Amino acid sequence: MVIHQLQETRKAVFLVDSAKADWLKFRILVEKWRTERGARSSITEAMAMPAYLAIIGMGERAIPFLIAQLRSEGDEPDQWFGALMAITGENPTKPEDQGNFQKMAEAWIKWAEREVYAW
Amino acid sequence: MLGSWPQHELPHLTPATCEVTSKASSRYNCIAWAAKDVIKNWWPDPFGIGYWPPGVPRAVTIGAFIQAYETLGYKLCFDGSLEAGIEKVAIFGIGPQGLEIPTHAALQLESGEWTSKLGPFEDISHKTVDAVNGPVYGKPICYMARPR
Repeated sequence: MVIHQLQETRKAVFLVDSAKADWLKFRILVEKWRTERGARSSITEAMAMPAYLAIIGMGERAIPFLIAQLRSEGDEPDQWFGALMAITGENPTKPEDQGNFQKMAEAWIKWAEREVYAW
Repeated sequence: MLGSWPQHELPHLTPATCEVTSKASSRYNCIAWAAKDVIKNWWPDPFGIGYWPPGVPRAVTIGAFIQAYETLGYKLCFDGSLEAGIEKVAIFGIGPQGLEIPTHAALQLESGEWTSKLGPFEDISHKTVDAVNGPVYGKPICYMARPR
């Protein structure tokens, strides 16, 4: 289903620039990941889901999208920190803020502003 | 009325067996909720994303989860029956007996009902502990108790 969606997306955007195609692909993967994760609480399981790994596989192209996603989620940020850590090799979260997704999101948004990754 | 979770993952939850008690939130998860923490996600992932009590191994094992609740004064107990003045948590797992992977935790209310946070979805109260059994959470593996 997702592969079909991605194929359709590719067809639809072949004349559009690659950043827009990447954004559309990212949006599809986000929704796919939410479905795959379901009611699981496990951060490790959530990060091992195929759609999450596909986001990580987008590499640096996904960074501005992940930051935009965190911004859009406001005070209910989701688990995008693992993908950001995997892609960048960075972890701007203070040890005392581990598990506090709001503080972690703030730290990553500030990091992105410093690194000029904001989208 | 049921909440926004995928109902095939929690097939025993019906309007007769549970009640939604909050809006959906990704700020905290079931392990945190059973520990009465609504600020953090608790999980012993190796990446340091989830909160995990200091000194407890960051391992996704029933033993590590038992140790995590021990930091809050809980001790292993026989079952999930209601006992006056005692608060209980149930740790859920899935997999071969003795090698279960922890998946979920629920907290017993003073009424004898239980409360669970369902992943990134809502908190619920459920009449029996096994109402959240299913393909995602498995079943209760052990119970822990402490004075209320």
